[in-house]
Amino acid sequence: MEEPLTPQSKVERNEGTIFWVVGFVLLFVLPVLNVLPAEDSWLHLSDFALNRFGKFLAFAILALGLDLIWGYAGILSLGQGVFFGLGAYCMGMHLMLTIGSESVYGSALPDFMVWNQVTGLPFFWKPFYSFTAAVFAGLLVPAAFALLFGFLAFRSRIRGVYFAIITQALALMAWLVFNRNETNLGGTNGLTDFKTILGFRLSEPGTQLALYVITVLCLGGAYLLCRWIIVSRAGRVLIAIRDSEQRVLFSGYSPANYKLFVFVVSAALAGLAGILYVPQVGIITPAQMGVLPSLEMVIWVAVGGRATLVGAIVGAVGVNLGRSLLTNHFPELWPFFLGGLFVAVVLLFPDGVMGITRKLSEKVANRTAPLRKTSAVEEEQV
Amino acid sequence: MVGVFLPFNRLFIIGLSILCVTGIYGLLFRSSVGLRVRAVMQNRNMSACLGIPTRKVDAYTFAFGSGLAGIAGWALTLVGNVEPGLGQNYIVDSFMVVVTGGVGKLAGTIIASLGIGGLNKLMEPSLGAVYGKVLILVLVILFLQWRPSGLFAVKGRHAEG
Repeated sequence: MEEPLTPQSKVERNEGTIFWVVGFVLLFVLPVLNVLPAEDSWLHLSDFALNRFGKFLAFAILALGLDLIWGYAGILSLGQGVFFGLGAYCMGMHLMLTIGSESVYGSALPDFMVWNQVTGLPFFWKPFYSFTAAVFAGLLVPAAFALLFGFLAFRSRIRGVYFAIITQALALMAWLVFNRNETNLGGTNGLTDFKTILGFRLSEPGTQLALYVITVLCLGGAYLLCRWIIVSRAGRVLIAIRDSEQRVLFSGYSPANYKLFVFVVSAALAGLAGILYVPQVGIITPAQMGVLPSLEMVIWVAVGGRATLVGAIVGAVGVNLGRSLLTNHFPELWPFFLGGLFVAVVLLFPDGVMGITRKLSEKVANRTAPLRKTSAVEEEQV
Repeated sequence: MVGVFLPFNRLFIIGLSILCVTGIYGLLFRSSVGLRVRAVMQNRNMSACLGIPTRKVDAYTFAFGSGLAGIAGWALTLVGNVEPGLGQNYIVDSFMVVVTGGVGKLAGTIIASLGIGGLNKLMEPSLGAVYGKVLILVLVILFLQWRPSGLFAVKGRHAEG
């Protein structure tokens, strides 16, 4: 077995087992708890809770992609919200078109076009009649956009804080453009009031359950993809770029190509998250793709722990679950909590939740096997 | 020039900016404090070896920068309305100015801010505020293709480029 690059915690060493256990819980236990127990049983998981959880897991897919570029390749992108939004809008446009004459005005055109006095369907809406085309577009449009943007940025060696700023500017621009009515994307109100997906009613609990299961499967797939990238040789180069880009450059690798690759992968994952988000939440507006949501996504990864894939998932689900609970019970406290969380992470746990588990298991290991530890150190010195 | 109208509050802001820039120039390039700030920026490890308290310099520089942002906010109240989200409108613009001018270069910042601000206002009437801004971003990205570290890059044998 290869030596790990960083000291690993118990959680990371047992990642395989945990993957199957968590997968089993998410894929079987939660849906069964939703379907089988009676409504008033304490075991019962409400449709609403399952649907919320599906949304958090969609966010976790995005967090995986962000962790891939930020945690492993060291590129801080503050524009992940844009790629998320692009994926979400692709799916949203398809769902808008399937509403058909069920819309408020009874027109085949989406409602907002009717009240904006748009008479014909704009040309770029037409391919979205097809579900397959919408899904492919939701993955490929963010990826293509990231390819173009990343090509220009990495070619001219824009990196570090420069790259973060440029991507933040990108998020602002996307927000401004999607807010406009003349881009025919629903303006500030976004796309909403969806009725069906592939002929199934979105309001049915069964449809939502299926969407949840698909989200879990996609998350599993995304996790395996990221894991595969990281343990591959390309993953080694990415980690090397994070630690010393110049040394990688002088060793004869082209950091720009590796960075471009991982940026495109993360954009496609963000797009996938968007595709899964829209039918479960039922609305997509420019507010979900602007500067602030993009920053929040970075917070998820920081809280969970950079450079650990599990951490990204834990962070995304944890922060959003926390937000969901806190906004329900103490609506005024949520911003303070989020800010405090980030300060605490920066000051106290720079490696996030995963850093805490790593420290704990190190402590346990030190207490139980002090002899083994010292012998390992001696071996290293030889 | 016909039609040029210069209200006193805007003239005052221009005067205030000139005063601030002169002050920053004096502090950064004509004082021992500024020397330390620039030393830490150029080579943190070497500065630490020479006995400069780099962490303290960081903290003071950050405090000074925040104070300057405060002055900017103070000047803005003379021309715009005040609201909690006031700063957000300027985050991206001010970052883009720094990136275009070259990080750590005062002259670059001045020229880039005048350039981007002026260009923005010139394009606004024909393109509208939103597309003017989008075009500025595109122009900045294209500009960085040509000069990756801004108008006035720090010269030296940097592989950082």
